[in-house]
Amino acid sequence: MHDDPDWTLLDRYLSGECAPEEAAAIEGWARSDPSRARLLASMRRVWTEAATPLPEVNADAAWRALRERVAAAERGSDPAPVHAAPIAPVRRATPPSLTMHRMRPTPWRAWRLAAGIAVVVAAGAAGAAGWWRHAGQRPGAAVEAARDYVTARGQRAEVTLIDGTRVWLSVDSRLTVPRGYGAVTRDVALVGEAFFVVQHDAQRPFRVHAGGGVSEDLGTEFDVRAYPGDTESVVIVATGRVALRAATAAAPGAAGARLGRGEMGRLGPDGDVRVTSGVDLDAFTAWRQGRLAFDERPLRDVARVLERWYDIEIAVDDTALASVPVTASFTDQSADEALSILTGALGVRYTRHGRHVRITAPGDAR
Amino acid sequence: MPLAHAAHLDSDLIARIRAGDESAFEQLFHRYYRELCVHASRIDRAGGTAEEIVQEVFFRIWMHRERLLPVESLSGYLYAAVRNVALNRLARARTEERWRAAKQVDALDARTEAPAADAEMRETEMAMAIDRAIGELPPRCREAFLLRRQRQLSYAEIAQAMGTSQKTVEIQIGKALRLLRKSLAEWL
Repeated sequence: MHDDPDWTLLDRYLSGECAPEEAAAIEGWARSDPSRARLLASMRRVWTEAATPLPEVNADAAWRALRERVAAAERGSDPAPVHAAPIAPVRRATPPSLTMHRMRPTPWRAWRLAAGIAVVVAAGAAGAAGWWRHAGQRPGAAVEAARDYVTARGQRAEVTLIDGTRVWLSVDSRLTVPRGYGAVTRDVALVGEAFFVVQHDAQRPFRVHAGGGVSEDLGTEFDVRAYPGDTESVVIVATGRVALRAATAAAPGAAGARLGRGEMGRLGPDGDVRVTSGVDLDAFTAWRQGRLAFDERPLRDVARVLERWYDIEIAVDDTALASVPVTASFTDQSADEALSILTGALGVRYTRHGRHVRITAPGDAR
Repeated sequence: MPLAHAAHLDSDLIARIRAGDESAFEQLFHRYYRELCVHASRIDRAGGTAEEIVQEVFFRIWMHRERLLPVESLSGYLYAAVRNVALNRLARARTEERWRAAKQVDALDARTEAPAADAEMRETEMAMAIDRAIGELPPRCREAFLLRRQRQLSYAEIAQAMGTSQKTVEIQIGKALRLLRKSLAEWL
């Protein structure tokens, strides 16, 4: 291939460590040619897959175990599973509690809102895993002890941490909980989006590290979104209060802002916080019920979300079209139904070949 | 063996298993075991239960072998069975949501249709291809790539861990991506 990208830059892009202009350059490079776009999409795919190693299995031992179990059952003994060997946890320990959800899920049980107090969110430069590096530990030491909860595209998960803090993990996201979580501090790292309902404990602050930042909690309910490639970390408060500021290392002296219920703070790479009041909480947190709601969001953003929910790749041909604001809500639709509704409402067309979808303006001959 | 090519062998295997031929059952087991474990681990990302799920599927097949019916695609059937057992276990794990389990199809009803199985098979095959391609990277290149992706380390941290320079790490990781792209060209 003579049209190779800058592979090192691509690695930093996929890791979410690019500056916004670098990310824009890569995305522009990909947009300029379908084969480049395919390359970027396929590298994203490899990147996602590589995050979670496949299980290592011993088929011979498993076969012997199965025969034992069959023999026991035929003798009329306990038909419980027989373990071949300690089952390889694939470097992901069994969580305290974890429930997976796929698209077209049954709605989650409603939960009671706890009285929230306050959250401190601090975020800084890009580099989602950056906070591990300041822990003063040898590389690998902290990370090795970590436990990851990972959702693929189209999957969501509900996790209850050891201290009772509940986390709703959205699609295509990763929550990392270090070993020793809860002993002294409660630190978790997030790439993607999650909704937290935190059990307050003044002695052990709860912190979310996302988008290279740090969020410190005093007991509340809030949504954090920082996907790789996002230029901003977004925090939306459902209950309680949030103090949002840039991490000291990234932007010394940045003032930050305090957020209350229904407020959204968007922390840019410059360390400034932009606050919007009276946001439609439902639109931002409906994903927990398996519902997608968009309120005047550019088609470009909507397409990105649909990609993660349906595990498809959407190309929008025209920049003007990509900027058209969309207001829509999807609950239980298949990918095709959602795309039909979306493109029907905009008066545009789409074509789909497997996972690849192309949205075109009418009259576009391609 | 790509699943599609295995299909024509299936009807013969099913007939022999129904007749109680243990060697046919063993053949089936070895042909699909690893692949189904990968499939199970992708449904139940909590990890650690994939082998149990697959054992359960094979256990029930053998215990109810006389009920095994000819199916269009044995692999599709196995994928669907693994999926059902995995989802049942996830549902059962949450006692307060026990009602969900009742909604799941009986895992080993041989008439189980598997509309999603084709896509899931492709996904699993692709995941295995990616895993293989990573395994075939040059050792230093693979090490750097995995530290980067699975441990989410910085270039500087990887350089320290591998006793090399940051520049070398950047080059190795760039090379890893380029080689992966090349070896996965037919999949992606």
